[in-house]
Amino acid sequence: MLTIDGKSIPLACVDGRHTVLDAARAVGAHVPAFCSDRRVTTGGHCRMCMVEVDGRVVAACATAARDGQTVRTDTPRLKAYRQDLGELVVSEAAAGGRAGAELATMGVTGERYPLRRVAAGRPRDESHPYLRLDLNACILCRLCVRACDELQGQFVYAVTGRGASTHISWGEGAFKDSPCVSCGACASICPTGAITDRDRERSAGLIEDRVVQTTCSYCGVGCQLAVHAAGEHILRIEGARSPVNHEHLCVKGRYAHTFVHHEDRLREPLMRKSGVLTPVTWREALDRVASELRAAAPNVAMLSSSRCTNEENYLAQKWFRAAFDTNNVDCCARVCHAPSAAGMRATLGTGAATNSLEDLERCDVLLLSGSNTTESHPVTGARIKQAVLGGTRLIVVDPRRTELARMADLHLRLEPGTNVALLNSLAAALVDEGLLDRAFLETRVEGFEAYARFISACLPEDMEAITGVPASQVRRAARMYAGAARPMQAHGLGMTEHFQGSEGVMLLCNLALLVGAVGREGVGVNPLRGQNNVQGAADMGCQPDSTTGYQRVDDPAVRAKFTAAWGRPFPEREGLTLPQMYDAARRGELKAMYIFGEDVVQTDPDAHSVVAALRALDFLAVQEIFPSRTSALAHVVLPGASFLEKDGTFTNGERRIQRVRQVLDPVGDARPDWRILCDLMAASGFPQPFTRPSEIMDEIARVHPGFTGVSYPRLVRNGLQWPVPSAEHPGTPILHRESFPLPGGKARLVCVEYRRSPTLDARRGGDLMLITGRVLAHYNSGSMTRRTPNATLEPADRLQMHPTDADARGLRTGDVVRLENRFGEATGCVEVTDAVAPGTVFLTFHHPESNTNFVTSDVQDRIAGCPEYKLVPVAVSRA
Amino acid sequence: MKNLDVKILTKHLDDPELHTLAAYERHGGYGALRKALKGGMTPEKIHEEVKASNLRGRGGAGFPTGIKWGFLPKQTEKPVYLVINADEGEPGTFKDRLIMERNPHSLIEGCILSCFALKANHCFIYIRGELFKAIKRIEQAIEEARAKGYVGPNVLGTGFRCEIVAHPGAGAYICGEEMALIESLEGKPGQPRNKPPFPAHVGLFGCPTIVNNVETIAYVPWIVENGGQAYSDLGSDRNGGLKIWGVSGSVKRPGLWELPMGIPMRYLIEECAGGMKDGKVMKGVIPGGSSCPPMLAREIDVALDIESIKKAGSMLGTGCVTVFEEGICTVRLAQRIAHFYEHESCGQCTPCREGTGWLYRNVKRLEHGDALEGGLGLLESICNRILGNTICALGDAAAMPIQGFIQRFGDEWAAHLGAGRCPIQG
Ligand SMILES: Cc1cc2nc3c(=O)[nH]c(=O)nc-3n(C[C@H](O)[C@H](O)[C@H](O)COP(=O)(O)O)c2cc1C
Ligand code: SF4
Ligand code: SF4
Ligand code: FES
Repeated sequence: MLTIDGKSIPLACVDGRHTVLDAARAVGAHVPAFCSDRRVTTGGHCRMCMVEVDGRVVAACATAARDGQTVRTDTPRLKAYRQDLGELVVSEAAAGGRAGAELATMGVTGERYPLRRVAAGRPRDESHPYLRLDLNACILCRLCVRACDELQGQFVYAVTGRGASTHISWGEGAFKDSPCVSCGACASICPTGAITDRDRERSAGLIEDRVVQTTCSYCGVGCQLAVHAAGEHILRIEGARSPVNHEHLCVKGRYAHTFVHHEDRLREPLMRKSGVLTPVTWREALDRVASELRAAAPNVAMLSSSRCTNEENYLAQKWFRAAFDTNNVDCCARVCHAPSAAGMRATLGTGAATNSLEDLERCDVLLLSGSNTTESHPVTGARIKQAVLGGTRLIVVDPRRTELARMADLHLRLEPGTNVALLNSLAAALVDEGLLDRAFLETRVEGFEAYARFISACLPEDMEAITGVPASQVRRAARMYAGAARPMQAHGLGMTEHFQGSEGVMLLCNLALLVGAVGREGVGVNPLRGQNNVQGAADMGCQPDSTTGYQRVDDPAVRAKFTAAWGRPFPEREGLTLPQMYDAARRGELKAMYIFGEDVVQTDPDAHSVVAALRALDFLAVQEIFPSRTSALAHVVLPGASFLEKDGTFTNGERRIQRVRQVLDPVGDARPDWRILCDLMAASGFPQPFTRPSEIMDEIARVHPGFTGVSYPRLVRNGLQWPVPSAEHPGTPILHRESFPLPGGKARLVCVEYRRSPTLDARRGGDLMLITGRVLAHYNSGSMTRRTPNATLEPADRLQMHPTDADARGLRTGDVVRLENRFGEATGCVEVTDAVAPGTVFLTFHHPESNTNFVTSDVQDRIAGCPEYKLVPVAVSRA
Repeated sequence: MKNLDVKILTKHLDDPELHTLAAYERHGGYGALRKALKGGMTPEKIHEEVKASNLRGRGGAGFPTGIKWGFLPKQTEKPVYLVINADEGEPGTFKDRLIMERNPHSLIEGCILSCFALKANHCFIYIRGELFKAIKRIEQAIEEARAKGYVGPNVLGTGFRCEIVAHPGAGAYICGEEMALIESLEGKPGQPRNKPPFPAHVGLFGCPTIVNNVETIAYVPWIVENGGQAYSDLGSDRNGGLKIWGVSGSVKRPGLWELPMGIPMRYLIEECAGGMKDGKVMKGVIPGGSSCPPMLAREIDVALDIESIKKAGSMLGTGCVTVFEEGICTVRLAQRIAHFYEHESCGQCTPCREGTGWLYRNVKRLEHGDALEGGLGLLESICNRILGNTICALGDAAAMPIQGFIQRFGDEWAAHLGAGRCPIQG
């Protein structure tokens, strides 16, 4: 028992993790506390929270709550102290924010200590597109420093000077030139408004009327957002309390939301009339789409969207399968993590992350392959940084020297396109040195004998010439990985978007199996899913070979089940993958396509041939929120809703199904996408009974065995990680604890030989190897981020080039260059950096005018058909 | 008064070579180390002797050393560190410097013995950066001791490992505060941490750590050699042994003397330092460094032990007395002190950072005879904001002397109010 101002707190709350301040708050005692925040470590700087514990005056925020304590928060002495300390504070700082409000409530006037030291004249900075700094308001609580260090790991702020000259600093010069990554943690935590942001500034004066928790729609991390809104205005977005992001966010999730009301939004249905897209009524547009598709069925195809909700993806595939008798359904997973799904399904039985984000704090070694996490999955990247700062060892496999590679214990900097050779050599080292979990191999894995024979030919010494990674380094990595109690893996698109993408993922699984690192805490193989709902789109069945719940279309029992569930015959033939759709369209076999929430012309490789395919169609319908290069080719364009304007669910990269909640009404005449799909299904003669997304989820739960226990009421707090086999089941943070969903319950070791990508054989394209990818400030085609101030942060596509290659071409940072190969031409803005090796260049694809995907190749993953975005020869010259 | 002639650390100061290993050993040095390690003394036994010695920390707070050592966790998988606070920055204090410059091996031998007692294998000596000679002498002493096998992987062939590192400080008074010192040793800005956890549990690099003053540890070899009781007997009740006392200010012979705990302050000032110089009249003293409240001339018959001086309304501090004469304005004196703390506050907690500034500016204003709106009450209220409300004791150290001056020289301070100039020194 612990008593606070005479009120008792039961011992249960006093568990060693809570402070006296927490306890005081629990009984409703108001103790002003300026420098404490649950997101960061204790500071104890402001000394506002002094209380008496057993007669001794201590800082409540820095004192552990313990059994038997008697706490007083409200003695006259304490009150007088706080009041007077408040006077001292305002004599030095014009504090606003929550601290300022608190001081005002206390009746602090600033008149008690009239010798104001420096009332003004401390630095102000407005150079940054989002963050604003005015140190005249700063009370030196240091929350910003702790937030930047402990949440983002960016170390932008420092406390400079001593005593009275103490001040917050960010290095030399303007704030925009600091190492800040605009995550906004400092602005979110600063109690005085000394650090604030554009959103807060814009929304000053508006009265908040609601806070809605929803899921971020950028990357596959799935951060939980607390959207503060007033009427149709978004005031600001904060990170919500969640195991996914622990209230942290990145520049996209927190700030890049102003696209919602951008003037370019599609606000009404459009139909091509005399060659021009012209506004029409919904009725006209819906009927046209339905009749065109019906006429062309079954030679029609649906390209669904990993950006949209589970419910919408479910409807999209249901619509085409049931109404048009075709399995021609695919989604953009094809061009990112389809190889992860395929590779993992082949080896482990399930095509999804085996573990959870929380395991990043539990592992002791992390093997990170082909992922520039701090830019592509920033919140997970920040989490990895914190883990590494806390002692977790990190091995990075990447041709580029990324931020995490610079922090890594080992950076295996391989030649682009040699993943398979490198991973084989790592596995060979494990086998060669006997660094194996024999018991695990014996009981839970199939095929070790044959595998051991095969892999003995792939020793690091043999592969060195291919990968360019010294054998000694590979062996060290093998020992580090195998020597860990909890070796974990994560990988990104650098693994999958290759000729041997699926096979590379299989090799990652091999490594984990060899050391027994699957099926328990802090281990596993974990694809960092690219798009917010790429996991969900696949779960919902947006692929040609299987429907909802990965139930294969070639299985008669599955077809019978869905025929019964949907009341329509289920199509028998496996459908076309996205690249096959383009081929079929070019051949004239595919007549009509429905593209939902994707700009394939900008994002798919070899864009010229994509355009040719779309032009060859008799009919193309596009459902979008912004006009795009793809919608420009459409016959009908339907205006959908952004994630802030609709309800539903997204499933993040750790299989967590999370709620998307409507905050705003859709702009203009735009409609929530699930509603558009329902309307189209009705127009196609296949009416649906759904009046809200939760009802769609209820149907999904009936047909998807892993979703049986999923329903909206159960998703309220932190969502659920599938499989959720029953209404009582708590969800599954870790897969394969006991067995693998494969014949015999065992996982399989797979023998894969390294093959040179055909791209490399066709060297005629140019003398530099091009890798494409993303930067922090933008998301994929940039249709959203470019319509926010993020565009100021990153105004053009970047071409990273090593100093040697730049010198040889007389190029300098900032120069605009032309990239050329046999597929086409693109442009980029040079950044000279040693992040890329000599002979390699890296180009982003966020700006349509760069035409990055005019030069990416037609080579695809041999198994999953994912394009090889990460390797193509180019020639670079000054534009 | 007894034991006035017993000397320990200063016994052989007349030997100009005392800082060398050869001379130190010639005078019996490292005998305690041999006795302990070769004679089968256990770490626990040494700890017991230190407890029995009533040795109190010589860094200013006077905490019993044996008890402090007992705070280490009984069982730990982490390494234990011994850190020597050689940052000696308290204004008016210059005793550790003498030990390090003239008798460095006494400290080194003490470090080895203490490490043995604490089951530590690493000792860091954090030396004030300006003490070039002390740094050099300590570094040389470590090298000599290493060459002789007293320091290193296998002390005296017993298998006990003891590494000692001298670390020059980075020039801030606050780095003498034990937690700031630890931060600074770790390579961070010297800023105190919140306590608890105390260093004995979470100290250097997050490991259990004992921080002791130079003088404290330099007495350990004598205690080991002669027994704790013998040391305790040299001093007074609960204040064991000898101490190096200092006197500075307006006396005839400023300097340092090694004398028992508990001798009267008057003896130190009049007999040792020769009394006031140039016929000046004593106005008061600051007993043990600038953090201690001042005392009046008529109060100096107090015994120099921790409890007595506390009872008299001040603190023993570092045991280095500063004497000031009639004619000195105590407001001006306090202004100097306030300026020091304003400049040295690390700036991390509000009452100290802002409060020391307010104290300095207001005391300065007072010295110029400006009226303070709140009178002396304003100063006292700022002191009360600081006292007991800060992360470390620097805040207290800034507030206590001001409170003390107002208490003892209140009339003089009141006379400044609105006088337009300093009524004492103009
Ligand atoms: C502001 C401040 C400065 C200090 N400076 C010193 C110093 O220079 N030397 C020292 O030994 N102790 C200094 N101390 C005391 C130390 O924090 C600590 O109590 C001491 O090193 C413990 O050693 P001891 O127990 O042997 O005295 C200082 C304390 C404060 C609050
Ligand atoms: S800028 Fe804000 S968060 Fe940072 S120290 Fe100042 S008041 Fe605290
Ligand atoms: S009391 Fe002063 S010196 Fe000590 S931690 Fe606080 S600001 Fe720093
Ligand atoms: S909130 Fe406790 S010291 Fe600031």
